[in-house]
Amino acid sequence: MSDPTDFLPHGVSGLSEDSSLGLSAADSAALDALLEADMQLDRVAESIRARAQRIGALLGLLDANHITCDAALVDVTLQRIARHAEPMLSADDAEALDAWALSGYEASATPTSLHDRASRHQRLAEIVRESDIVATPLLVERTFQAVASQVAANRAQGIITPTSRGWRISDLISVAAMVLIGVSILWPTMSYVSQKGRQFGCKSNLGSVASAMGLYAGNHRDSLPVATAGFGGAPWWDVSPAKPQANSANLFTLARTGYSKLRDLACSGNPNAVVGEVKQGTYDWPDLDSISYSYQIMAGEQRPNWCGGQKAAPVSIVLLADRSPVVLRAVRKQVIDPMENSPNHGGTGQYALFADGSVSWMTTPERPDGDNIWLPRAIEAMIQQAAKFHQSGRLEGFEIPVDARDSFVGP
Amino acid sequence: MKELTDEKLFDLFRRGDMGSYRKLIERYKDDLLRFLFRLVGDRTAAEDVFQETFMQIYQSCDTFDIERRFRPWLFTIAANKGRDYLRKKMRRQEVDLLAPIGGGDASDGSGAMFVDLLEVEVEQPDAAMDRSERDKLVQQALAGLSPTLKEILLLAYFQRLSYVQIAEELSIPLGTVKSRLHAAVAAFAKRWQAVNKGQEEAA
Repeated sequence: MSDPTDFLPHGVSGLSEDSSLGLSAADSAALDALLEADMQLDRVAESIRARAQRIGALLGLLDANHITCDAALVDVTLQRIARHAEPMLSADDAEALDAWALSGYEASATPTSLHDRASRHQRLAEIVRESDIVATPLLVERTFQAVASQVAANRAQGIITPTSRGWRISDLISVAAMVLIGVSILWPTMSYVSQKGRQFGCKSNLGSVASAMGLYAGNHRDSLPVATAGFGGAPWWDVSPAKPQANSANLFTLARTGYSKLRDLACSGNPNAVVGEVKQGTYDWPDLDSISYSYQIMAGEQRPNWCGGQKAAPVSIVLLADRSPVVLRAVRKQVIDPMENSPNHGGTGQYALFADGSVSWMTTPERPDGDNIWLPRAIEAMIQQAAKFHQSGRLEGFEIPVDARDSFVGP
Repeated sequence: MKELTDEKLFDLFRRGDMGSYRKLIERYKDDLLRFLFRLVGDRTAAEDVFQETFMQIYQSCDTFDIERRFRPWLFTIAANKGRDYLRKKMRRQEVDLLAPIGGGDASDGSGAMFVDLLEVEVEQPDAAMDRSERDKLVQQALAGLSPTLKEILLLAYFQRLSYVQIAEELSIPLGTVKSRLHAAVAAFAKRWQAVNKGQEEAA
């Protein structure tokens, strides 16, 4: 194979031997002189004119007028390009591949004209699938034991089966006990039980969402679900099913791409929640009221990543919580109370899913470190400042988290 | 007695029956290991990813929709795990000495961009040819493919999913499935041709 430098036309000799690393001092001086003389050789000092002439000859080669296109050079160049290009199937083979796949990968079911080539595709697949490799009983046993011991460890912690991830025996017993007591103590208690049941429903939902986010992150380089980070210049609470423009569209991605079911993203405490299948071509919930959970505002470069299972990661960030009452009020231009709890559970508190995949019940929207999950730190600071002057903080829908550690959820 | 479906077995496992889980592992062991061996390129790594896959199946089991089929779900999770492994391996900058250098078609001086399957050796395996020798050649040909191409090729070859199903499993548009699979088959066919040619010349 010829080296690319072979393409350089010959005939320019006499340049200093060390020019491989740049021009020699003498050549540089001659080039400068030539440029200074506006490429007029006769205006270059006689002592360096011979050297300048050779440099001029070299520069002249760059002038397209002086070069005729060598057909062989074109061929070699095209061949080089071809060698680096990815191979493509011939049109017939491409058609046969589509037909073969369409017929359930059965060459015999393809049209006669494509039969030969489809059979070759099938044969190629068989070549790849055929193998002497078999799993040893030891591998099967090791795999089984690894899972069995994990199951046992989870059961020891009270996680009964993977279906009830996050449900502990104590949770079930307390619900069962409440139901029994409720039968005799009538309505007020029953209402409390249903409230509790709703809470457990949300806890279970957030557990499912955590798994879905884990799977999504696994397929998307640890990224959390995102459909838009720019919000198209509109407030991130402008929910529209037709296009991904609100922050909720980011969360909706989980349902749209099949990682979650809509029912896992619906709280029974939200009378407008939607369940069922995702309609084709929708990117978001129908409207703000139908959204049950508020998701970390996924704006700009400061978006947190999924850190499921990594206890050392910045796990205190809240990714998802029962819907924000602050956003609901801000949209309606009502006065907001940053300490108000989510309406999902009658104002008693909210469940929150953290970046490590854990779910906890929060009785106030304020984290132990003082971070309010309904607001970005900037507004929290403003409110603290404003309290001194008896003013109130305002949320406009354009605010974003201060950094990846600022829990701030909506809509 | 009629055998239980994969989905039924998985459901029983979710209700706490470990025996059903063992049956699922037994049912898919060879197929899955072959798939992973082709994907990650060596047996030890394939066995590691095999175990990780079944562990992930357990950890994600509450996300499995019983209405869907188990097999594609299993293979998609396995493909994800395999992809993670390959990504880590690339980060460690390991060089596979078997992998053909510079696109793997250096022996093919023609520089042809189009592959014609009628010119590719796909006949029934020669009885004289050692199975394990053939295995190696397949691995060698696959090693030249990017992980993305390898993944889609193996998902099509092993799972025989329709383009629509592949699009759903990989979360990519239908058009991308088609063009990516075409590129993958072309790349594999060309490399297979090259390694075969190399084999003949060596013989």
